Amino acid sequence: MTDDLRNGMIVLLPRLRAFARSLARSGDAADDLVQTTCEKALRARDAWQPGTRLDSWMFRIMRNHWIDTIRRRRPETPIDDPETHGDLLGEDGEHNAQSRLALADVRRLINALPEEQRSVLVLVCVEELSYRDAAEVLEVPIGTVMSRLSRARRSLHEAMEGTSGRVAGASGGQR
Amino acid sequence: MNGKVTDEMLMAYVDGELDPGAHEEVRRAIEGNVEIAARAEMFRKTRNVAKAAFADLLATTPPKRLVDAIASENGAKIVRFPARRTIATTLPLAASIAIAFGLAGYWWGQNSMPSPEILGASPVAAALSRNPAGEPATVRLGDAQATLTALSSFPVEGGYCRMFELSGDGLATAMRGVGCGRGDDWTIDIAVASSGEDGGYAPASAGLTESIDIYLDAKGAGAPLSDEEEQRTFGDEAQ
Repeated sequence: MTDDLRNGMIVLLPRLRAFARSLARSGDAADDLVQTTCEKALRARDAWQPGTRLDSWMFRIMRNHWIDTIRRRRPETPIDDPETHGDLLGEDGEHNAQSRLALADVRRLINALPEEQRSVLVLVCVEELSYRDAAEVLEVPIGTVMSRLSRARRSLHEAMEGTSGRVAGASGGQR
Repeated sequence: MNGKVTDEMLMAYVDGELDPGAHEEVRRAIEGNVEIAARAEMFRKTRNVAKAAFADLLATTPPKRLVDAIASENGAKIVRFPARRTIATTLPLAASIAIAFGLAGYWWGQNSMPSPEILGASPVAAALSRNPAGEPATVRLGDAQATLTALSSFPVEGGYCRMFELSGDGLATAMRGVGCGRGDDWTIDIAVASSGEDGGYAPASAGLTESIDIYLDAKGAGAPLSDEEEQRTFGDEAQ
């Protein structure tokens, strides 16, 4: 089982990195988080029940560890990172009218969401977990998953509209 | 559809989370109302754009250090208890074995432990031929009773070596040892007093643990068996 577990974890690495990127916002910090998560999962491997979802289990370990670390490091997490918006505003002028929002910009918009919203957004829309599985990872009821996810997508939509609207406005409002 | 179609219903529709009945109701509501259709489109679009934003990361080969953290020997040391260190030694193998046996002999001398002969003939060796790692087994030593727990098992040429812990009221102190064999034919090769409290899994002192490591290395022991392999090799269905 140990080898199966290790193989499963290696296959999961890209997805672990994606979820880590939604928690820790820099690439290096995200990969550190992935590494710590893998080490914790290996140490706690007896707690994993074969036949259950390895991805959900590891996402939960990752998020719990991240929350513990953040709580220890600083009293509160900035819900809205002003630097993120600064970057976006600064780059807006460089977009031409035809350009869609660059995907990196979308990632920045997602990063600007509160943690509880971007976690659930990435778990469901990127990692393609069901609401039920996401609820287990986040240890909240399904109803909470749905309300957070709905708010996250509305916020993302409005941020995208706001950004692309401003860009598109310069050339006649085409999207 | 009667009543208001909420954001959450539309979102669940887009995400394929509705049961067939509700799915059909929402589908009809979307067809019949431009405003509802626009809201559903918003949920579809945000899902796709979020997925796309991470697509490059999902398609990227993970850095080697992450793969190593999972696959390396280092990882193996983490997952098996007790940790088995690979000892870099310039001693010839025979000398290493002599050291290991020397230490074991020393401990037998110091602690009036059961002698190797008694251990070898006792149900301790027999108990090693079954019982997967981590599952305590009761063995009788004369009038006394002790608990043997295999800690981990390593494939060696011609069979397996198994690290074990032996504890119980009938023993002066908890012991840790190694037995090797195959089928029903097992012998206790090393037994040393562990420094922990009786029955506990407190690690033996560094020198004694090292002697076990040296011995296992000398025997050419491979990576420890997984739980599944333990069950297959030493579980009930194995015999």
